[in-house]
Amino acid sequence: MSEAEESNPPPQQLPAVISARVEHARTPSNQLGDLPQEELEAIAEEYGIEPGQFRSKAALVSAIHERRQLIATLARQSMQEVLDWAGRSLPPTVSPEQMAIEIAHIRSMRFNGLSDRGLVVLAMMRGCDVEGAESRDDIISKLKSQEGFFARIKRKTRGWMGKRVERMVGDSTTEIPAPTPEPHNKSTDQTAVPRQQALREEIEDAGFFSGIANRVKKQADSYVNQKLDEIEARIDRKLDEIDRRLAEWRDKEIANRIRILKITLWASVVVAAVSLIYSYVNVVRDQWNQPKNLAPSTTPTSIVVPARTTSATAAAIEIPTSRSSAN
Amino acid sequence: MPDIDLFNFFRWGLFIIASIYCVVVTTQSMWSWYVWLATNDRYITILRRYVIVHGLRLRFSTFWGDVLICALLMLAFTLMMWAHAILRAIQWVSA
Repeated sequence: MSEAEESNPPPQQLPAVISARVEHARTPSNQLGDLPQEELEAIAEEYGIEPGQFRSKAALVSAIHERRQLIATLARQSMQEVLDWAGRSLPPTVSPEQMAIEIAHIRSMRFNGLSDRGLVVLAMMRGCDVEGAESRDDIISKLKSQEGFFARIKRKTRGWMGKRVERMVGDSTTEIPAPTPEPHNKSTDQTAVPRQQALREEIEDAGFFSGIANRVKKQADSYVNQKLDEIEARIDRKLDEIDRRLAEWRDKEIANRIRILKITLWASVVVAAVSLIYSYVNVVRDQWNQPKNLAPSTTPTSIVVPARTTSATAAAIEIPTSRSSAN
Repeated sequence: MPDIDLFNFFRWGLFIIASIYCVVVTTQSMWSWYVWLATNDRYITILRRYVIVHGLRLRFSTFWGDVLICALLMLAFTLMMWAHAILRAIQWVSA
């Protein structure tokens, strides 16, 4: 299969959204039912459920339970694609439930750059009736129709305000090329950098104050991360420098030690040479003095070579026998 | 009165004292390093490995000339000791 086919599967195919089939429980969890109404509503909002749509507590509990089961069936990679598209970064060890909660808080209605399976996940998390076999345009139209009239008006108003604020303040993210209308279905790796949202989009999604607060928070985080990276790089440089200096010191130290050894050896050899000359002079002097004191002998002197003397040493000893025979 | 050659006395005295001093100091130093590096402490283990790594990373090319000179000097020294032994044997025989 070519890379293009891998990145853009045909719309008829079911995107890899469902990771495993999970049987839906027939009865909601008893633990959820024991919780007070306020807590249930808070949990429902976390999961992207509108609590006002459910009149009874049991219905709300059932909805939360179904949403949890839905989350358990979603593929992690698809959820990660949605988070990357929304510019939200989570640690890689985060649980699928936390990822789903984060996805539930995404309010953006600009779906450019979102993959097909990511779109399906988003639609499911927003409560749309999606099977996964629909075309992209169908899913987008379902998502748009799912958004209420007043919500759309509010979003448009926030978008207009965001546009004005962006013009006033200026936004560095607008210099970044806009996301392509084509979705990306490539598998996202852990080191992929999430898409940076424009200030206009942030205000449109989260409102005026929240959008600006989010932007300030992101800028602060970015600044801190940049500084931490700089510190880390500086520490790495220092460690490399220490290692290099240590290696230099090691080589220099060994070279010095060997030089000292060489000087000692030179001194030893010089002293040994002087000593050898001295010994030789002594031997020659003894040989020179010995004939004067001794009476001449007619018979050759027999030499007993000491047991410690080696054959080489004995071969070198010729002076006594030759001297006695000469005399 | 014993006939003592001062030069030989100095030579032998220097040889004995210097040899014993060298052996004792070197053994002491090596033993203290061995005892310190043989500890099972975590950081000492890291240090031991670091020392081994530095030993492996040693650049022989920076001092191979000196090592060669040292080897030649040791050879010359051994030859001189052998010559000394021959002369000593001659002296002993002639005496």
